Amino acid sequence: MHFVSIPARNLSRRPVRSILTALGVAIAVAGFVVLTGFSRGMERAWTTSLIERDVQMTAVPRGTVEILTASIDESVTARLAAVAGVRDASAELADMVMLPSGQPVLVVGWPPGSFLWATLRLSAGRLPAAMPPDGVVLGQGLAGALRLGPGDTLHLLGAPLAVGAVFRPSGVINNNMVIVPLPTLQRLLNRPGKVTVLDLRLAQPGDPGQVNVVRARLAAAFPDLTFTETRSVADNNDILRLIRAMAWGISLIALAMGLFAVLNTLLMSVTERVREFGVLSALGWSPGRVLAMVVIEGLVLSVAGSAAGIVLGIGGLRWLAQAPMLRGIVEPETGARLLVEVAVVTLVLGVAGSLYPAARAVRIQPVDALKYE
Amino acid sequence: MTDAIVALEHVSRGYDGGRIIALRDVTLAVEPGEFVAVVGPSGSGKSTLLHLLCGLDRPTAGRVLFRGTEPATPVEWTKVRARHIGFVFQAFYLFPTLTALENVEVPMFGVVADRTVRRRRACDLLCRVGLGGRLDHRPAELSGGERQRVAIARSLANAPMVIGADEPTGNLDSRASAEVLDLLEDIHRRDGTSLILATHNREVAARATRLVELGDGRVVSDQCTS
Repeated sequence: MHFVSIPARNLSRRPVRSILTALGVAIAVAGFVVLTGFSRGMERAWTTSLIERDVQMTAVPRGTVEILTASIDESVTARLAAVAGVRDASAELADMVMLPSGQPVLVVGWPPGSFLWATLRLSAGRLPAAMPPDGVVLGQGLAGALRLGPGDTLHLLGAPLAVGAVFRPSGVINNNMVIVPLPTLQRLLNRPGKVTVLDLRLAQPGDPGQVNVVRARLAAAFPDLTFTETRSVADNNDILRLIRAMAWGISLIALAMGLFAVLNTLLMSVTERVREFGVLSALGWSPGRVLAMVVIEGLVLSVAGSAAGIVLGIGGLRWLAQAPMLRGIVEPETGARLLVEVAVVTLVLGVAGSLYPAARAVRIQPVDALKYE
Repeated sequence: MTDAIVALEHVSRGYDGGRIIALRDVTLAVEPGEFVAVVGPSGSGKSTLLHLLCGLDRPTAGRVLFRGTEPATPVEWTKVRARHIGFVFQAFYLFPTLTALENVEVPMFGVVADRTVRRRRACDLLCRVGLGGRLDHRPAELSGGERQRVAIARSLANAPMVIGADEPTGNLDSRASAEVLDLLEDIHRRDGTSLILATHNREVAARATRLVELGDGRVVSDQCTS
């Protein structure tokens, strides 16, 4: 008999209680997986969408919280491009709009001559030398969902626009994006001459020292703008930071509930088994061995619960990612990092939830057991 | 006293802040190979005496010695119990989720590292107590007498120098009682294990080689019977 099989059998003595406790842990862990995977997925989606466009730095008005409501004069673009160390600059107007089908999509407007057009990998159709004012390019995911291809018409903000091409991105945001010539989108959104963000390509993007020099130069020349490297966009975005903080906060509450479920179950179990612990002590079990037995009981509960929680959580994430309101915004993050974090959470739940009951069990003396005779 | 396996020196044991005195100034030594029966009426302190001799309880005054020295801490007493003292309870106290074989293995954790050795030894012990055909039965599937035999096998797990048994036949019918007593006697005779048995039953006590009689927490008489 393995030592571990003793605590496992102890839990099987009250199967309903053990299963319910593991279920409590499972729900807590699933909540952690969903919330953390959701917020990380959003961060990654935003970062990927910029990296894919070969953008190394972005500029938004200082103090911007919600990027879609930012407003910059389009004319700033040319002045930015003239700064030493900046290879190219492009204005970009972005907004979330509702399609006639009720599906929300991200629509961006790019100036007809922007370098951004050249970053698109087309899967159908072709880009004319200059996009016609009524032409749009669709991400492959959106085109598939709407069953539209080159030559079809997309109704956007009440205007019929001709689908000129479909592009194949790797990021989820770009995959479900509509790209429109900037003047057209400015007209449709009634924001003439205004853009939400400025995208920069640098002359030496691989040299961190040079990137810092250029950023300092830009910050000095444009004090009203905030310049952020693409890979830090997610970290510096207040909305994403808020979502991340909320995800962690709610996860912690859920995990605390899981911890108390384990603690409560083990405390009840220890209280019911006073005689048994006394007998084990009478038989010569050391305090360390008694403690190990109770902690293993906690770990068995938390491991079983966490395993179910991972399955529940990943299923929940996939379901959320397919929900109409979130499709195209969230790409669930369920990578190794999340699994390692769940493993740590499991360990903490199991050990922290069982230490107090274990300490109570260790204090039980043989004579306590004999009182029952 | 120096040859004694376990000994009490002027031991008293009180409860409830001293309002109840179970043992009063008892001095007693158990030598290797002795079969001691502790007798007396209910409340005379025989269980308390047995618990103290087997290191299951601490005195409020006096010293409890194991092989001439006093284990200083509860943890030291735990080590002594694990390796040198076996105990048989009146109500068996087997673990209900474990089989007979696994119950006998329990005291060996921390003493015998090899799982195969633990299993083989437990198997041998159960065969010795006549339960070779009941290895995989859980306590609920055994009769009272069989359960007590499992408990006796468990007490022998680490080849103790002394076995304490508190009313080991108290929950058994006469036939099962006789079988259990035969078994304990056999262990005492063949292994040379010291046996301390607390009982209120004079017939059971008659099997011992030494009779210690308690009354009101004191040793009333202490005599060899063989």
